[in-house]
Amino acid sequence: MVENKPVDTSEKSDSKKAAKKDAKKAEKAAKKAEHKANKDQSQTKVEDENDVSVGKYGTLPLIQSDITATNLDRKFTYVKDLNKSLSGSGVWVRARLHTVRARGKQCFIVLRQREFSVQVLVNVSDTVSKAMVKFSSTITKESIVDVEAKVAPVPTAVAGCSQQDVELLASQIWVVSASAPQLPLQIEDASRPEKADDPEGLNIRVNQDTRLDNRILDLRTPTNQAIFRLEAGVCRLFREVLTNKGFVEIHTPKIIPAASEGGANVFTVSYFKGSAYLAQSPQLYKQMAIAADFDKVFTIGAVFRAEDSNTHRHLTEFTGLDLEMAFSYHYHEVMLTIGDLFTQMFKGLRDQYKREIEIVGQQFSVEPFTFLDPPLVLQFEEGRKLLAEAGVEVGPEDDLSTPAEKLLGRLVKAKYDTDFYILDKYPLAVRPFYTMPDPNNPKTSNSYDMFMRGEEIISGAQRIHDPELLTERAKHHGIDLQKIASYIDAFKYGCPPHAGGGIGLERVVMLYLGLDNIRKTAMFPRDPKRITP
Amino acid sequence: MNGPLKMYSTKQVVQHDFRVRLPECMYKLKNIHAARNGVVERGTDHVATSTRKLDIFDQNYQNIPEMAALEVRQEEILRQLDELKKQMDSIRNTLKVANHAPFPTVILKPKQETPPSLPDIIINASPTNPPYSLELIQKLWKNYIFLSVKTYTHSSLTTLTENATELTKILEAFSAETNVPKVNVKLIWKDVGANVELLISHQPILGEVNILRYLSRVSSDLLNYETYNNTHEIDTLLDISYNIVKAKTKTERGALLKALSKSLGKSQWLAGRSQVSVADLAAYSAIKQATSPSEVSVSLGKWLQRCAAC
Repeated sequence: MVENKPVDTSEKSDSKKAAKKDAKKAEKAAKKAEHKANKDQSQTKVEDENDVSVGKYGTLPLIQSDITATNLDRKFTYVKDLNKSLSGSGVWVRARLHTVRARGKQCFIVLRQREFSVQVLVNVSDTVSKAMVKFSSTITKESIVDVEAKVAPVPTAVAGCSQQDVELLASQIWVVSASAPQLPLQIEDASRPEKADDPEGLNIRVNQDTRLDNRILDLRTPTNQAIFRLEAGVCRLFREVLTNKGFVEIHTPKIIPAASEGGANVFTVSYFKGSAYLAQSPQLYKQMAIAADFDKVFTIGAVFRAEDSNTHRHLTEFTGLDLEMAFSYHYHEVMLTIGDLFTQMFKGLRDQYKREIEIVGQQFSVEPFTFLDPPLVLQFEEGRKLLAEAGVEVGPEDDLSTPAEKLLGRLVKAKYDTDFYILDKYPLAVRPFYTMPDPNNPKTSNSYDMFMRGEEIISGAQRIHDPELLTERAKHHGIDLQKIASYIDAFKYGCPPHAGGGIGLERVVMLYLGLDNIRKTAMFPRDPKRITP
Repeated sequence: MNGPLKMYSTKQVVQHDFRVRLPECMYKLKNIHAARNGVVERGTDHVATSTRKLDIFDQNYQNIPEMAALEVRQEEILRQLDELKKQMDSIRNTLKVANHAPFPTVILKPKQETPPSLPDIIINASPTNPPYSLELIQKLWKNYIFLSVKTYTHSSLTTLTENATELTKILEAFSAETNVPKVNVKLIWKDVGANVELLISHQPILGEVNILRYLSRVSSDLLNYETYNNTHEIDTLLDISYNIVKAKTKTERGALLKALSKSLGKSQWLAGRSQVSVADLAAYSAIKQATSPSEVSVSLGKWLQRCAAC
């Protein structure tokens, strides 16, 4: 009882307080309503009295594809097409409101459409009322608006807009889809150039995690628009080049019955009553397609790696561009085909995506990507020699460590001025069991790595297509034959000699653009610490 | 002498009049003090001899046992060398190899048979100024060094000029005699302007003529012009070639071409030589790069054909 008492009182007081609060709230609401009514009244009064532009601004009703709407045949002009040749003509533009700034009887709006932007002027005149200007200045940032305007040339270039020689004089402005007034990140901050040597520039940056948490907003920056357009270009060029070379695109299953490589770093998923795995490489299926006489195949698809590594270049899910090709007598046929694929892709990017590369370069200052045609091929031995000259010793049967790879990349770049090169003939000891040994040197193998800016992007080899040799090599590596039985069986009924390799799309884009983090080139990246959004 | 001071006798500083024993291991030179007929004039004010050793060090140490031992050792080595030479001579006789005359010259002339082991070479060239001299060197060296050229196009270029593609084809198709040492040349077409770059270590050698100088120096065959008696003339010609490429106007080029013509004169090759030299290679390349056929005189035109055919 004694204990209960104070609780009681507090409850009482609470309820008392709550009552008071409610009363206050009600009072406030009433006041607000009154105020609002007043305001509305005054506004309507203004509108009634002297708003000459009624019906020229406001919030559009929800667009529900109503066929009775009157403006179905309205033609919109792209912001990127606004230039002096259109001056004097009236246009409709649908774009995002980037910034808005009211100043007395004027209102300056910057409209943004992807990486393009244009300045809009809402000016009080005999057709534009003060109320319209006021309305314009209250539209929230990032809202989508329809603007009818006249294109007008400007005497001095508009700074901060991509369309510098014209501005728009608005005559109608409608909000199509309003944005919430509070933005978790500002587009300007997210697209501010990151230049280390600029002490005067604003130093407000958006954290990578904030960007990823609000990826929809972040992706609206010109840089991100460019990055993902370029990424699409890589995919398209990969398809185009390989299709021209006579490759066939195949699709491989992503749910696989057994771990293809060893068993570590695969995701287990429940599969009805049992469990299955997510494919960490389409390799087995590519090779089966070769064994099934498809001759040259490629596939583009998601690849999963359950590696708990939080580095700038590892993702747990990424897009793999894989290819496999049968050859006649020497795996260099395949290696040089892949090399040529890269050269053609780089050329295509250089020639067709100049603008995108430029935009990315404006935010992240990086040197343009250089390459040689035909690609430079170095032997592993030569690479070791170059490293030894620089004071880094790598054993003849050792793999290159990541710092050594980076150093070698720099050495090659200094010597040949190329960011892309092929390193051939890796030691057999550091490659997987299915790698074909070199017939002339038992210590090396018919395998190759390709590098972009000193980072490995593709690791490929001639695969053993003989079940007996494969069994022998698997035993040598201490692999349980039971687990790879299906792999070995694939070669039982005859298989042409073949070689191939796989590329990570995100990594290629990252390295081509010289970005520092693979999360910048994955639209919705997955890593050990992030599975949202 | 009745003076109060008796002076110390000091060691004589300069000694004259002793007979200089000339070491026999060196070449004999004419005595510059000799009269024209070779007789040494033993004038009174000339060198005097002393029977004693001069130096204090020598005086004190002339009889150290180590010295003697060293002398004995040297004698022994010389004797062994002598024996070795005799053996070699006998071997040569049995093998019936022509006895080479001992080298009389002071300048060490490298032997033709042993080409140097050159490192792999990277050459950056602009397709507007293809290094045509490479083509000639390749041909001239076909029995000496095989310049195995592999060409690349750098990403700074989108297209190659016709001349560059043509040169690429010629260079890559070339194959030397078998058993000739091979040097890998990576020719990279790149936007480097008129100055061709040759990269061996980190700093490039700039300019085609400088590359030719380098190649002629590391080689020991006919292109090495350091043993010529008109080295300066060759160097001048090389610089003229450089200026032809650099020249902006036709008149400027005309003057330089005239200088080449003059150097050619009535002889087969530039600098009045009867054999091809690096100057010819440089000039050939420069003229092909920078001038139009109408600017070249008849004699130079014929010489150009000779170059192309060499």
